[in-house]
Amino acid sequence: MSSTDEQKIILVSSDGVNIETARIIAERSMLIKNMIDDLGNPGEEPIPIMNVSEAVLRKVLEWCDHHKKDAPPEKDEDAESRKKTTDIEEWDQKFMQVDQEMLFEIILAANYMDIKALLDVGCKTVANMIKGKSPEEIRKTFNIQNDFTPEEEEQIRRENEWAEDR
Amino acid sequence: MSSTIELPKNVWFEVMSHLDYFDLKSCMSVSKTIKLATESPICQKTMFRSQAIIPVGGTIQLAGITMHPVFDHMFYECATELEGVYVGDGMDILTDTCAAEEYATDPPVAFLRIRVVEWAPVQITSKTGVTVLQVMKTLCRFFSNDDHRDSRGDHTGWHGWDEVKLDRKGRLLLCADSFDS
Repeated sequence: MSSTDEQKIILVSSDGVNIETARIIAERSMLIKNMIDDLGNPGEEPIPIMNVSEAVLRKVLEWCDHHKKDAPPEKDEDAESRKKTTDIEEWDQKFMQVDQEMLFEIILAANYMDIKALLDVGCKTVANMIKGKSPEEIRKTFNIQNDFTPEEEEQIRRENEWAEDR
Repeated sequence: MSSTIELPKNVWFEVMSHLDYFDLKSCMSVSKTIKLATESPICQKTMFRSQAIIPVGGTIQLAGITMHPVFDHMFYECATELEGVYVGDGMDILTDTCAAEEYATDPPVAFLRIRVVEWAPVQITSKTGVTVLQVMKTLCRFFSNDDHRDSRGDHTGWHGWDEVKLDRKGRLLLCADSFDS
């Protein structure tokens, strides 16, 4: 193991809690990796993670720890191969079995901390929650307001009605 | 439990990239933000709106060709007018649905041929990609020829494509399914 692997760093959550973790784990986040690269002297200064609370940050780091040995993602891998596959590996599925509030928090954190693979798992989880549902069921599931005018809604409905009974 | 947190647009775009045609159609009616996400470039292939059109004479990989799912949901009794092409359990008229203007295949092709049972194939050329509407228009025109119609009678049906293949010149050929009588 190289010294980089063992190096510890300290992250500070949005609610002011210090969390110590290994650099290799934290660097799954491109945000943190870039901050370390910019700051130099890793480990000396705590790194603030402005938008992520302690509970969510710990959860995100749990994911990063499990995936710390994963190969780095290929540069902008072809979108085609990813498309429409919502297969999620078992560990990740269990990891994502949280209430929707936490699921969304994890997605937001992955988005903010630039952890592409975690964001991907989160988005697939949401996609799986949409599959096979009617528009009304989707609204209920995610608490989304229907902001179409009745006329707009009627037109979309007319154009797409046939697709409801696939 | 529903969340009060709103996901940003880029996340919805990403979510949509994992859904199929029918799920995207459901999403279109959910809200304006979600509808916008279904219209993102990532979804264009799934929605049969890709701009990567295979030109006339271009190489077609048959395994990479997907037929528009609307063909599996059509009720069409060899009518001579587009008003006789119905879609879905609600029997909507094809021209009232958004599927009409979507491409017949993905990737779209600028040239294809249609063969109905044993008749000589008819062809469709469209530089901007052959749409579902153009395919059905061509079939209507085909059946407006009395010879084609009379020998099959009025009580015939069209059941989609029996076979989708490449002809000897590597062009896409859609073979119409057998007919009821």
